[in-house]
This record gives sequence, structure tokens and C-alpha cells, in this order.
Amino acid sequence: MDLNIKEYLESGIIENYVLGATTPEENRDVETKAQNYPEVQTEIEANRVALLEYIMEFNQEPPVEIKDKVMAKLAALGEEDEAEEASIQREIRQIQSNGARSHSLSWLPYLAAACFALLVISIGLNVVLYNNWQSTISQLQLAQNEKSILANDLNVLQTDFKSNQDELAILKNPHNVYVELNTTLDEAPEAQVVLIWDAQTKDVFLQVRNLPEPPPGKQYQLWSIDGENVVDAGVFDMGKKSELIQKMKNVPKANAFAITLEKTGGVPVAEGAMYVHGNV
Amino acid sequence: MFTEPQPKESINEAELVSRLRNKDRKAYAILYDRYSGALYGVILKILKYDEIAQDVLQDTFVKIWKKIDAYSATKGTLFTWILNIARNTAIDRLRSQDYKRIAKSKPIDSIASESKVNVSQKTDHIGVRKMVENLKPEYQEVIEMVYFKGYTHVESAEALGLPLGTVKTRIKIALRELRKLT
Repeated sequence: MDLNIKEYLESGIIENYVLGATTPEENRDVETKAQNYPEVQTEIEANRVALLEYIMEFNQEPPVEIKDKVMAKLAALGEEDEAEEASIQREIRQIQSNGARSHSLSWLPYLAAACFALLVISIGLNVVLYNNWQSTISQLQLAQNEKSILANDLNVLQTDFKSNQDELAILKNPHNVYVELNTTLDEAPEAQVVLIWDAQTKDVFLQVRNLPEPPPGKQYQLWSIDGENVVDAGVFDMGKKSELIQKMKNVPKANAFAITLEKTGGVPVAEGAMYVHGNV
Repeated sequence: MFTEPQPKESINEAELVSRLRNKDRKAYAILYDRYSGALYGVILKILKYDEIAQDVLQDTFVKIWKKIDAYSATKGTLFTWILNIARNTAIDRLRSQDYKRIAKSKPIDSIASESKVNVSQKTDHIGVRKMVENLKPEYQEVIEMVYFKGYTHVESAEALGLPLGTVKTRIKIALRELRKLT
């Protein structure tokens, strides 16, 4: 990407960026260009310096007592950190010394802590009650969402059930010719597909016993072989669908079947590797 | 030549940052001495009211203490980083309901606050505010909108009653004029 630097510097984008008027997207763009083009970086710096000098002219000393207030606040923060650190140390020492206590009133701090804890809890309960009210409302909304998701799931289950019944019908058909297609590829030694050919209707169904998942953009294609003719008998799906019996194209005549891996959608003439083959 | 505010005793930035990270209170005192004037100036210009500005100045230092681990030299100088914290905190306050309520009930006497600024200037900057005095009002106006009010291009255009393109061009020229004045 070649930048016309002169034009870019003229455009005013850098000045707008330095002042802080640009969008986050524009900022990213300027910063990228600054990384790639030192002239852009230099220009940004020059503008920054000028702006800073202007801002510094508004310099005004705050009242003297503010410093004390600031330092006091920082001291308090520091003490918080130190107190936390110290109490952790104390706990460690207690654990190490197996909690040996020599003072009779050593339970006092624990009582104080318990009272404080009760106060915190009661405040907490109020907060919880309020939050519960809020969350009940949102839970209702969630439940309504879940309902519609469940309804969808139900639809899918019903479709599956229906297809199981169909599968059973296909398998029980007395006119079926079964063809076992076995592996022809060294890289897929377990590959196997069962093909069902209805001698009457010439319908063809197949069920994948074992085939590797194809990479994206590829799909398995069935071919029927009649002597020298190799005829496309359709593509089929893998993934979840491969568990089911899938219907292929009608095949009037064949003495063998084969499956190759082609690009998604299939091809008119087989090009890809042949995974399985079987004679009728 | 512009330089960031420097104290009499010099402590280099890397060492200061390291001590700030260790929550060394003396380092925070140095930070305050060195930069509080610059930060307060910006915060006051944004918020205009002394009390609120002083409150936000304190908030700024508390934030610096809490967020110092997030600073790294790759993000720029320490001063730019803390200046951003001051500006962002001030603009947040500017947009708060509380501030809006106060602004309605206590209008600022702008002449009074201007003269106050001149009086409490640091002694090594007596009188001369070269850029503020020489930058044309229309350019100071866009800088006021974008930098001191946090307006976007669109908001500035609306506030000034100007087309978007004019605002962008004005910003370009404003910065160019500033560069001429350095």
C-alpha cells in the first residue's frame, strides 16, 4: 500500500487525530500509518507538542491545602494495602503456630468481627432481595426464550422419528439388492458404505458405515457403473446425516457402484479419489 | 522549545515510574509538585468551578495511584498519560447529572475567572501566554469544543452551527497555527 504522504499530511486527519476528534476507526488507521511511515509519526509528534504547549498555558497552581488532601488520600490507600498485607501475614502465622492462644479474651476480636459480619449480612440480604426481584423478571424472559428453543428441539425430534420410520420401511423392502462398497483407498482402510438398490423402483439408498469426514468444499459422490458407462448417482452428506439412510438418484442399470470425493455439489465426470467400490 | 514541566531536583522518568509502581509516597509527592499545576489548569478549564475542579484533581491522583501498573513507556510519556486521566475524569464529571444541576443554578462570571488565572500563574510564566493571546478566537473555539468539552466532530458542528467539513478544516488550521506559534 503506497501512501501519497504529501496528500495525507495535507488532509488534516493528523491534526484532527491529535486533538482527539477522530473516531476509534480513524485512530487505528492513523496509528498504523504512523508505524509504517516515519513522516507521519514525526508530524503527529510535532502537532502533539504544539497542542501541549497551548494546554500548558492554562497552567494554574491549585490551593496549597489540596496537596495535603491528596497525600492523605494516598496514605489511606497505602494503609489499606498494608493492612491487607498484614492480616494475610497474621493468618499465615496463626496457621503455622496451630492457633495457640494464650490470652483469655482473645475471642473479643472474633465477636467484633461476627457482629460486623452480621451487619454486613443484613445489608447484603437487602441487596440480595432487591436483586432477586430484578432477576425474577429476567428469568421470566429467559424462560420464555427457552420455551421457544425447546419447541424447536421438539420439531427436530419429531422429524428424526419420522425418518426412522421411513428407514425401517426401506430396510424391510423384499425387493432390495444390497451392495457392500468396500475400501479402495490405502489412506482410508476402514471405509465402507452399504448401498440398497430397489430392483423394482430402481431407487437407490445408501448408508455410510465408515467414511472420513471430507474437508470443507468437498463432498462424496456416488457413481453407478454399467459396463463402460460411469453415471453420476448423486452427492450425499456426511456429518450427522451420514448416520441415516440417504436417498440417491434413480439407477436403472448397473453392475457396480463406486464413491469418489469431489468438490461440493459434485461433478459430471469423476475426477477425485475413489474411496469405496462394490460389485452388484 | 517546548519542554514538559521540570522540577529543580531532577529524577529521571523511568526511576519515577518505578517508584510510583512501588507505591513510594515520596514519588507521588514529586509527581504532585511537578504536574499538579498543569493538571489543575486543564481540569479547571474544563469544569470552570474551583471546588469541583479541586475535587477532580484529587480524584485524578487517586486514579493514578490505582492504575499506575497499567502505564508503560510504550504508551507515551508519563505526563501525557496522567494528563489523559485528568482530562477524561474531568469530562466525565462535566457530563454528570450533578454537574449539570450545579451549572444551571450557579452561572460562571467568566471575566472574574479570567483575572484569577492571571494572578495565580507560576512565576516562571509571568504574563506571557503567547499562544492563548495570539491564536484567533475561532481556532480556540474548536479546541475548546473538542479538547476541553470532549465533543465529537458532529457535536462540535452542531454546537457551532457549522458544516462538518468546516469543523474538520478549522481543526486542521488551528493546529497549524499553534505550530507556527511554538
